[in-house]
This record gives sequence, structure tokens and C-alpha cells, in this order.
Amino acid sequence: MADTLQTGIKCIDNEFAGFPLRRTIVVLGPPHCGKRPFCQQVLHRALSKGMGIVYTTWVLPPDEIRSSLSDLGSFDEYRLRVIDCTYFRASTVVTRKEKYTLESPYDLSQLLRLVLQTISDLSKEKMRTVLVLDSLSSLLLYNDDLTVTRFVDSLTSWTRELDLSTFILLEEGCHDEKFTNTVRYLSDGVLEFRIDESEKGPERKLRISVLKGVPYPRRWFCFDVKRGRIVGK
Amino acid sequence: MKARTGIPALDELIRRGYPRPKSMLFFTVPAVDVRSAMARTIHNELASNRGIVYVAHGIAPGHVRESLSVFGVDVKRYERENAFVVLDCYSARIPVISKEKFYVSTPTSMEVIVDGVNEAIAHVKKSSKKTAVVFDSVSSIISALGEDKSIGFVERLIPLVEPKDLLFMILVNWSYSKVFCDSIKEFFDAVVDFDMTFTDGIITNYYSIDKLEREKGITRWIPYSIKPGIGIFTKIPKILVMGAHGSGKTTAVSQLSTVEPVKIGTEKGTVVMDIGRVVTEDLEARLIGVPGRERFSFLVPILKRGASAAMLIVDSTNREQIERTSETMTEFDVPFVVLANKRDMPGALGLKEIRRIMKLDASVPMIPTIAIDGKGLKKAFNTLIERMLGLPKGKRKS
Repeated sequence: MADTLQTGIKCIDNEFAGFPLRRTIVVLGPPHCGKRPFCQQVLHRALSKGMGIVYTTWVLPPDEIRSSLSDLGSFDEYRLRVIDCTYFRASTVVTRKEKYTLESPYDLSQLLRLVLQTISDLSKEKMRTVLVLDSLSSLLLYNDDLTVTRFVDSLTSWTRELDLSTFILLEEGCHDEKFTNTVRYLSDGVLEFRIDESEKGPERKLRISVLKGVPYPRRWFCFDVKRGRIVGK
Repeated sequence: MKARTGIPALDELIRRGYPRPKSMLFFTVPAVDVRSAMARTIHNELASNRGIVYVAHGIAPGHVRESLSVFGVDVKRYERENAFVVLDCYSARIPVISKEKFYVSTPTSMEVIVDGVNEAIAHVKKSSKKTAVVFDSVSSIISALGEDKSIGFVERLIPLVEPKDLLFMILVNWSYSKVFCDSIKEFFDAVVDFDMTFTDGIITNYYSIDKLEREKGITRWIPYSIKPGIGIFTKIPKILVMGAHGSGKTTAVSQLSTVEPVKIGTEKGTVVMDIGRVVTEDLEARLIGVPGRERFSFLVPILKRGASAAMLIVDSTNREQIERTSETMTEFDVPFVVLANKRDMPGALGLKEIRRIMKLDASVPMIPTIAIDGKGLKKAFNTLIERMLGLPKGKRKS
């Protein structure tokens, strides 16, 4: 069974053994810089290695998450559990379809309960599990900074206790610096994304800015997103 | 007649003479489904002709109805009879247009919420003399108003509830400071604490009565589960039944068990283990008979893992066995009772003598039993449960 999570991006994987398990990684960057496709690529590799995925989606509907992962290649759908945190917006007109549905964006206790429930269901099959929170910024639309910070604190402690690997997506520039720094502090690693304007047009870059306990490359890697897939340059 | 709260340990205490709490706080760590735990309380209040005003601040009104319906509450009927009202403080936060008759347009204003609660109470009072206000939740108010203002809010809400009425509030403790939590708890007559563990993929929930009529730490942590239509019931996953070979363990498990026990082994007596189950109205416990033969002693530490309590059985006629059994007591770190068995046999030693041989502390109960006739076993079991839950001794109904 894999001990690390590789990115699936050749130029990075050549220099980096992968994210160790049982870590909370914050994926930080401005909107539309490629954070979600990056995470989905990592997740798809994890699925293909027999791991279980718990995907907490606040932005895209669950079917879209499933479909974008399928576009990267087929996988055993049983291994993917989606927690639908989009339902409450449409709860008056849409029938609940998902097994795991957050009823209220203010009820972070229920969200934590759903995370534990999905992990419990996957652990029956003795699967190592990767959890994705897509994205923390959406929680902040409904809850105050302090409550969300405490939620992240609970999540990171469960991550260690339950042998999980957790990726938390966070929009850069949307929250105050204190909040972003607190989340960085609570995590085990930070993956930074940025978009630079060049003569050829916007250039997407990513780097691992912090990762506790393992060696990692410090440089920026350039990449493109082609058909939902991250391709290194 | 007092309506039962649906929290078994609390109902037990009230039956023993504690006044019924007027204000109750359901205080929980994140991830515990305390709303389901509260559904039974609401069901009981409605069934005893008390009206309910459910203040939905952190939850959608539709979900309130849905979660209560799952627990057998005929929400539509009570709404028709004006006995149940949802005050919608949620929709304006999302924001969507509220479809509720009673709603609050500024859910971040303490004054507006208080006015809304008053209006809803007045409506329910038309059909029910007594009312209970359920506030879901304080955590949601904290998120909207901050910690300091939330204390002021709770302080302001409590007097709204008239002497014959009740107030139930939920607070999810997102690592708030102890000072803050204690300040909030101080306002309430009763505090029910909820906690959970997650081990090997299994979620176990616990509750305890943390405060009742100014007394603190009334019960220990009580493992529980929730069944739709029933609500909270105490669920003790493992009670060990221990003792030397031939002391009467298999008989005791068999007599106590309300379902046919499972026996693992082929010889007479407990070879590997006996597994029994005691199911009552508000309790479910699994009894594990631990083998007494020395050659199976390696199994004992394995079976002890995760045990919540123990019954230690001794053969009252066998002095040597009693001496040997007393050595095993030092290993107990869970509540236990001693069953002095075979009281009907000639040569049975006196209880004081057995206690002396075992060097048994006066605080450990010793119950005389005749397991083969079932005599004394229920008393021993109930005494153990009281010890385990930390309830005052002696009156637990079987």
C-alpha cells in the first residue's frame, strides 16, 4: 500500500517523493489558479492505488465532482464518498440525492459528523482515506473566523488520530491575513499556487512552501491545465 | 405527572426527587448528533400537552420537521393544533425568503430574535397552557454575535420563559474557553454533556448529567445509542462476568440474559466465553462471561479490553477460591460488584467473613445470590449499573 500521495505531475514527482500520509495540507492560491484540478489529480492517483476518498464539496454539485474525476480515468466509485454541502442552497426546490448531505452551512458539527460517518463506512473495508475540503473559504461565507478556525483544529486532530490525509482548499486574497496564517499554522504543509502575467499570457505556478518532517523541493513549478488535467511545463 | 425528559439518567434522578429542571442545556462536542438526542424530549413534551416553540437559528425549518418526524413526532398534527411552531431565524441568514409563518428578518439582532420568540410563545399559548422553547443553537448565536454578546443573549432569553414553562438550548463546544462554558452553564438548572469516541471505525456516544439543581458531576459518562421512536437508551457494550471455574458465571449470564446467550466452548462451564444480552426499556448491555480455568488465563486481558464494568462471582462455600479471586480484584479499574453465590449451599461462609477474606473495601457492594434460582442477580446487576452511571444507589427499576 502506498505510503505517500504523489502528484501525478511528472516534473514534480521526479523531485518529490510525495505527500506523506496522516498530514493536513492547505492548498492556497487565488481563485481559478488550478487548485481543484490539482487536488483531483492527486485524488485520482490515490483512488487508483486502492485508497478511499471523502470529498466535501461546497462549490460544485457532487455529480460534477464524480464526472471530473471520471474524466481522469475510470475508478471504483465505491471508494469515493461525496459529502454534499451545496444542497442547502437549493433545498426548497431540489430533492436530496446524496447519502451524505449537510443540512445547514452553520452546522459544522454535522459536517464533522458526516466526515466521521464516511470514514467509518470506508474503514469497514480497511481503506486508507484521503479527505478533501473544497473549500474552506465557503465555510467562511456562513461562519465566523473563530468558529471555522476551531473547526479546522478539530479536523486536523481527527486527521492524525484516524490516519487520514487531508487537503484543505483555501482561496488567497479573500480572507484576512490573520485567518490565513492561523490555518497555515494548524496544518502540516502548505501548497501555494499563483498566476504570473507574462508576455505569453498568464503563467500558472505552484510550489510546496512548507511540509513538516520530509524533504521537499523549494522551487516554483510551472504548469498548465489541459482538459482538467495538470500538465507540468 | 411529570413528563419524562427522554434522557434516561435524568429521568431516573427526577423520579428520585430532584425537581424537574426548568432550563436545560444540551452541551456537546462537535460531531455528536445532539438534535436526535433532543427529539425524544420534544416528543414527550408535546405528548404531555406542552406547546413547543422551536427556534431554528442554525438549522433549516424543513430539517427540524424532518428530524422530528424520523423520531415519530407527528409534526403536521401538532402544527395544525398550533402546539408546535418553528421560528425561522435561518432563512434570512442564507439568505432565502422564509416560507414560515413565524420568521425573523434580522437574525443577528438580539432584540429582533427576542421579539420573535415572544410572538411565537404567545401564539402557542393560545392552545397550550404550558410551553417549552427549544433554541437551536447557542453556537449559531455565538457565530453571529460573538461570545460576549451570546452570554447576554442567554441571560435575556431565560426570563422570557414563565415559571411553568421550559427552555432547552443546544451548545456545540467549538473549544470555547472554560470560563465561557462555565458562564453559560451557570444559567441553566440542568446541563447534559455529550461526548464521543471514534475507535477502529466505531463511533461511541456518551452523555452525563453534568449539573442538576446546582449539584455538579451528577453521573459518570454513560454510553448510549439512539433508536428512532425510542430516543436515547443506555448501551453498555461490555460487562465482564468474572470468577473462578465453577463459581456460577455461566448460570448468572444465562439467568440475567433476556435473549438466549451464546456459549463458546464444548465443556461444562465457561470454556472460552459466554455472551449474554440484557435488554430493558432504557438499557442494553452485553455480558461477557470470562473463562475461569487457568489454562485460558491468557484470554482474560483480551476480554477485559474496553469493558465498562464487572461482576465478580465467588462460590460462598469455597474459602480457597475466595482467597484466589480476591487477587484478581486489584486489576480492576472499572466499577464492579461482588456476587457471593451459592448462598443456599451447606457450609456457605457469612458475608462478613467473605468480605474479610477478600479484604474488600466497604464501598464495594457484595450481593448474596443463588444464581441457579436467579435470586439476587437482578439486584446485583442494578447495583452495578448504578455504580457505573454514578446514580444514587438502591432504587433503579429493573
